[in-house]
Amino acid sequence: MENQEVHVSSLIVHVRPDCLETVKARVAELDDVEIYGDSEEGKIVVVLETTKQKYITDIIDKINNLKDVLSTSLIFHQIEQLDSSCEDDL
Amino acid sequence: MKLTRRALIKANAAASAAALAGVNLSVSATNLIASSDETKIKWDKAPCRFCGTGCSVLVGTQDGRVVATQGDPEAPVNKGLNCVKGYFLSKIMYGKDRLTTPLLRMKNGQYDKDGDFAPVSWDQAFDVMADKWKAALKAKGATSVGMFGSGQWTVMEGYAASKLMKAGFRSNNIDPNARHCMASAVGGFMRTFGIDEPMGCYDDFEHADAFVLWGSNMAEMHPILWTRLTDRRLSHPHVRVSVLSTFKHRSFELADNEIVFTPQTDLAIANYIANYIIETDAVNWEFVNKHTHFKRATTDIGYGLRNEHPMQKAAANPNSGKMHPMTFEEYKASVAEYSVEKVSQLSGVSEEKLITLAKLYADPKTKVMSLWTMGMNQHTRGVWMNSLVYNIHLLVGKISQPGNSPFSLTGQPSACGTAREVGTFSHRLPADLVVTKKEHRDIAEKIWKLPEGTIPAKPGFHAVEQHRRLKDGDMNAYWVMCNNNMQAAPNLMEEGLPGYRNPENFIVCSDPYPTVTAQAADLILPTAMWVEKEGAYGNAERRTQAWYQQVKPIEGAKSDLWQLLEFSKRFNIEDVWPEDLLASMPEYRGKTVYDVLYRNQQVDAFPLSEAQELNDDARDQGFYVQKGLFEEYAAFGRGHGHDLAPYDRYHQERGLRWPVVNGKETQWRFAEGSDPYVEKGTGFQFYGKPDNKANIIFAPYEQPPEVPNEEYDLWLCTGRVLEHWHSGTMTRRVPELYRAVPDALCYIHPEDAAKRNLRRGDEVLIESVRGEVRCRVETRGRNRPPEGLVFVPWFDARVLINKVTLDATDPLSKQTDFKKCAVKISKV
Repeated sequence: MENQEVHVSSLIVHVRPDCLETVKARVAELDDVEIYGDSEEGKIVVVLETTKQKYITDIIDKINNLKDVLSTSLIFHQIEQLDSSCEDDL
Repeated sequence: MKLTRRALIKANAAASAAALAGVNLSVSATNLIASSDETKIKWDKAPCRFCGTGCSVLVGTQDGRVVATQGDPEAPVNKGLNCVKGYFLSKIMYGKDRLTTPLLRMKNGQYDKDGDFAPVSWDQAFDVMADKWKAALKAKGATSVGMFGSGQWTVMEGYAASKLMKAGFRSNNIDPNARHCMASAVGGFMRTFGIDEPMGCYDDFEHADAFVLWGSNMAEMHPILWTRLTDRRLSHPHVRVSVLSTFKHRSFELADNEIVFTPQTDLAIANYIANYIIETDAVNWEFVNKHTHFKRATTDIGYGLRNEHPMQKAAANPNSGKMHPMTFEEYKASVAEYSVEKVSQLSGVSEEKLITLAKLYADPKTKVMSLWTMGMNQHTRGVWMNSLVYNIHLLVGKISQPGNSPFSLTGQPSACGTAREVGTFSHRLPADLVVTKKEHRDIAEKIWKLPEGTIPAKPGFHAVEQHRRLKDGDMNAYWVMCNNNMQAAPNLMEEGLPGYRNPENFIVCSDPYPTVTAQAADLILPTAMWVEKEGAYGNAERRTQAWYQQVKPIEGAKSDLWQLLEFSKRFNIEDVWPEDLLASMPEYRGKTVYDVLYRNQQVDAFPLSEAQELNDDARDQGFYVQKGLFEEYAAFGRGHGHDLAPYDRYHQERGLRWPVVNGKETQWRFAEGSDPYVEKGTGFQFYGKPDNKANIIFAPYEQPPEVPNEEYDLWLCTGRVLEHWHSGTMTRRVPELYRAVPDALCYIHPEDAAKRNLRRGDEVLIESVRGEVRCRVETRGRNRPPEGLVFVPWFDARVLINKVTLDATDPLSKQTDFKKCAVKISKV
């Protein structure tokens, strides 16, 4: 069962405000990463969806190592079994 | 509308982040949230299990397991944020090798020191353990038993353990791993202010005009506080950040003034700043005259090595903490030696950078927050160094006001709450009381309803001394709880391991996982952790936070508290107390240690009905044990500057900062108007000292115990990295979450690598005179040492860097200096 886990999480990536667009472009290039929004103050809302083999801290480290990134904070993290994440009628 | 459940969770995750960041999400995303079905997850709060910041986390449980976490938006500390380590919180309890049964070294069905680990029942485990304790007590007395605890113990666990050791077994041989991280900070507080822990609080981050990091890589070690600092710096362009370290690290990315200094010369830099303040006539005379004394430290005090060590013998005043009064003129003359030219030469820092730094403190309009952790505390002159920074703040009166704040950060979630406030050190009792003072022991004995003379007056063995005493065979029954000291303590090969494996000794290790320490022990006890039990922690800003049990422990595991209490039931009071003590309270005859210590109408004063439905510890004892322990403990501090609120209130709050008087917490201690203990009209009162004055304590630069030489030609500094917490016991067990730093690396300057014909990724042998380890070198990346110094983190059980480190300690605090020893490096 453990192999079928999915990790969904959200991050706030704080960047130097004058570099917002360039950092956003670089973040968007990463796998398993979606940008949901950003602010003028240099805060980007990023959502990760990763499975076991995709090392989460690896992705965060990549983001952290991008030029002009000041900090990356985790906001929300949920582990979901894959069988419950199939298409549901809502 | 067809949607995946995953899309919902993602929208929910995004919404939480967006709300905090002030970001507007698109309408479609908002609609998703409205229809999200979250009823299956139950949420409750708990402080984070990792560092000393004390972030509050919302923990989501489902079917008896933790499945989600979220930064707590109502928490004043982290305001909804978590750091990367938050990822590990959902998983730390579910590592594949989680221990589920006691394991005893056995041969032919019996305990044997040379046997292999085999499962036994809790009863068998405690039988063998109690036999060993009783045998040791009988043969050599109370000093032959010991315990090594932790700043990760809950407040109640630390309190129960301290009481068991000091009053039950009548042994002061209990010390926390906080000795390795906070002892010098405590020493500095006690010498300068007479009362432990920071006067300021995290609110200072939003008020300061300048931040000075004195040996702290906050960007990696305290990321949430770093976020607050970053926000302040970026939203207020006048704000300046200075970072001092012996190598460049991630915090330098925000630094306006980057200061890489030669190890140990921070002592000289601090004295230079004091000198600059005096020379430029920036002393706040009103403050200094009204609120301070000048003192001089005794010098040439050795390096906390074994007494027979040549360096210890060569010291004129080994281990002396005596202070002598001095006049301002004498103080001025003492620091005058530390001219900018001389200190620049000694430290390798340019004069310009030193002057820029000094100006921040000297300028009366700049509010300065100084921050430090291990760089300053893990220092053979750590106590001195802590006081030298207080000197600077006191000289200019920049203290106990919003933004003016010398701030000692902590590394463990309850280093303050448990180790320091409860007093689980070998010389301390709750609320800053010490075993060496009769009047303090009297207070403890009265609260504990015990006869006069129960608590021994002599301090017990501190952390490093414990390993030495195990090796020497003086201490024979030893219990390690809630930490991984075999990996964490210095000089593993010469002291730690021979101590544990000494055939005379029986070593017990309580842990959720088979750590290096567990594997070196004789009995391993499987332990419940974090939200598998109810508890309370205290963070670095005096904030006490409580949480409820939220899941059942993994089958077979039991909390430290349960283990301590059950073990105490195995002893009759006659087993541990001499006849004269018993004679003074004959009503205790025939009772167990458990009855005397924990069934005293105080600890057991609150009925089970007051506890939550899910509270295994309370159910096992038949009363609300956490509340009883907390309330008895709180009696020590109430009315004495350490006031805690009633226990139940902590379950309603995101923590409260002590002293809590008339229901109100205290943000800035010692300041009139903020601290209820300060009398009207005084402005400030440093009431830890009898005359309400703080000490400005001069101490000089003195050489470190070991410096690189021709053969061992590099400094070694050890430390942590962001993704792993301390020894990695918990964080390294979550494979899907980490790969970023799979092995500890040796960070080295490219020139030093080239000189040794090394390329990035090459395997090397790191040797000191004490031991050696192999690891790979990194010439780029997050840590960039100067030439002549290497940095190796200590989280990796495969790269046991403490085989190499020196067990020199601060002679006053007994805290090890993990930041400097001499090594050589060669390619393998």
